Amino acid sequence: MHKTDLLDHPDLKTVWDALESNAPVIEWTEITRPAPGPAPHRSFRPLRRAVALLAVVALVLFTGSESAGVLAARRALAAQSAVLNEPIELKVDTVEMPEPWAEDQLRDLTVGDFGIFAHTGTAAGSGEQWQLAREGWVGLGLDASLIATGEIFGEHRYVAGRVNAGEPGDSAVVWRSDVGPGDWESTFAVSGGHIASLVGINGQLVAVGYEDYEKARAWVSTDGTSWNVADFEDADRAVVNSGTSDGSAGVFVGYQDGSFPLIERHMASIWRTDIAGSIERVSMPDLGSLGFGYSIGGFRLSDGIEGVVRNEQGFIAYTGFLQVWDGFQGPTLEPREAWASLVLLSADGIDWSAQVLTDFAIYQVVPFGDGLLAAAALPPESDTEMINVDGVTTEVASAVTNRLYYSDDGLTWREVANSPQFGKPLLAVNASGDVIAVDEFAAEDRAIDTTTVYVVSRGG
Amino acid sequence: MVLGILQDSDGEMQPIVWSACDKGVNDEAIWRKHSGELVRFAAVIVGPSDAEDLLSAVVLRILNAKGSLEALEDPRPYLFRAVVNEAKNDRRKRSRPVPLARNEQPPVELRPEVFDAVMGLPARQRAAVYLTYWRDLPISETAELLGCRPGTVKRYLFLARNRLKEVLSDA
Repeated sequence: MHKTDLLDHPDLKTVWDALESNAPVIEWTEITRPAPGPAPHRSFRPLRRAVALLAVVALVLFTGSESAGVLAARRALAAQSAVLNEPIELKVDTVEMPEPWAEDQLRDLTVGDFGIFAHTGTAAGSGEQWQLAREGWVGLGLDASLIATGEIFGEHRYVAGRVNAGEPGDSAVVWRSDVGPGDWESTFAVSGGHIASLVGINGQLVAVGYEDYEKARAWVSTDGTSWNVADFEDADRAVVNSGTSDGSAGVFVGYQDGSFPLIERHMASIWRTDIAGSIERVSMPDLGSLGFGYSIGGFRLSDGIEGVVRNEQGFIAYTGFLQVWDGFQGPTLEPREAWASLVLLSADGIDWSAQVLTDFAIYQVVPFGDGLLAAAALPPESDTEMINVDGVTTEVASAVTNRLYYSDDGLTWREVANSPQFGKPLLAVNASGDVIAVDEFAAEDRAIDTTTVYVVSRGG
Repeated sequence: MVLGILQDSDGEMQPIVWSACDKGVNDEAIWRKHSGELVRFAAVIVGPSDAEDLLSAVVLRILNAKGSLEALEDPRPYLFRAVVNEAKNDRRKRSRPVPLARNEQPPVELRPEVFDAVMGLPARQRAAVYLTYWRDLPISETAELLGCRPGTVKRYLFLARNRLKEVLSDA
């Protein structure tokens, strides 16, 4: 049984029981207008204010030099507004998929002319023509496979991710194909693992992910079939979210786990390698509070750096929805997610600069010609919105609405004119450099399935 | 039954009569079938005090888009996923304290630091732990309710275990 571990702790059972036993009973006739919003969180009582002040003092004492780091971060990371009020005209075509797909089923792969996958078993190169991939793919069934990354290496096209092999766990797998979207063979597998990034660097194919669910691992191969473990700095306490390569250098982003007297912390991290030696963590720009738990009036990162891509200008790493701690929030020291993003830029993957973009929450970035295309959201005009139920308008919390934005430099962005709206967008780049965009659930009704594919190009 | 006064699409204030919203004849039956576990799930995700608002928003959004709960092919996983999505969406709008009790005092054996750590988990991690370890669901069913793959659930559990191990090992 999987239930005999820390997560079966009696203290947790007490929490679940307390939450459930205090849950309300809601009759069908009681489903009505939600409260429009919380009481202003700054209106806490004097006693609570004093407790908050003590907490602030304690944090400053605990962090010591960190307070200086916060000040430095404020100087180094002067936030700027990111969005220019000048929409850009791009061509956005709409394609209907033959079957709906569900969440987590399309992956960002650029592996030539058949490199975009939907896990319902369909694959495409252009995003316009979809066909069924081989049934019983790698012998484990398509539903059990997760493709996370892909690369053209030598004469071959590779994709990697994991399959769910049942208990005790998953297996990281690399597949190779030279024929077409329906014919893939497994060339490498590691039990209990996953591959998040597969890139070619100086004649070696490098796969980075994790093993045993908790240890970052990197494997290298010169032929795609024989693999060796590579040295990866901080391997036993790191998580890699994404990676990319310019052919001579690979960059991987994520975070290191840490600990802190009061709260969990994740330290945003970037690793680089030319694979002549190990995969090493590079010095980050002074993120101050961004990379170190809570700050006073600043931002923090919750899960490190989410993504990294490369275009002709260099590497662009990013994460959206920074968090901000701006007061004592009640029984917990809980930060508020802020409509702000962090963008890190580097020409070589070694020296990085950082910029906080305010009022702009990046969801995903992909290269788009000389520039970049992002799915991102602006803060809504109101915390709530009105919806119509049988002719009666009622008020609910505003949905997050992502749109497409273009940027030349990663720092200033222009909305794509007539951009589709996305609840949970996912972008992929096809062999022509066009961007394929889908919504993993529709913004309109939070539905799960979708069949609409958008193909974004420069146009004629 | 008059539920309240709301603004209609023309800007006029109108009384809300439940029958006006009661489109699907089996909606109430569907709600009765699933509401118990949905309410408990919502209480775990956003706290008992906000569970009602969250579920109201979820159901109203579905009625707005689909016309009725009957239109959902498989209501149970849809509603669970909608709760998680709505909570995540809501979390991005505002800071929310998570009060424990509606009317009662917390049990004496409840450790506040554990409660805070649990409620400090990202919603999907918290949901994965709750469904798998407290509701005792197989990982495959947890994955179905969260709208992700079994491997993703395992990853959520691993991350949650890492984040909770310090506070739980202090016990």
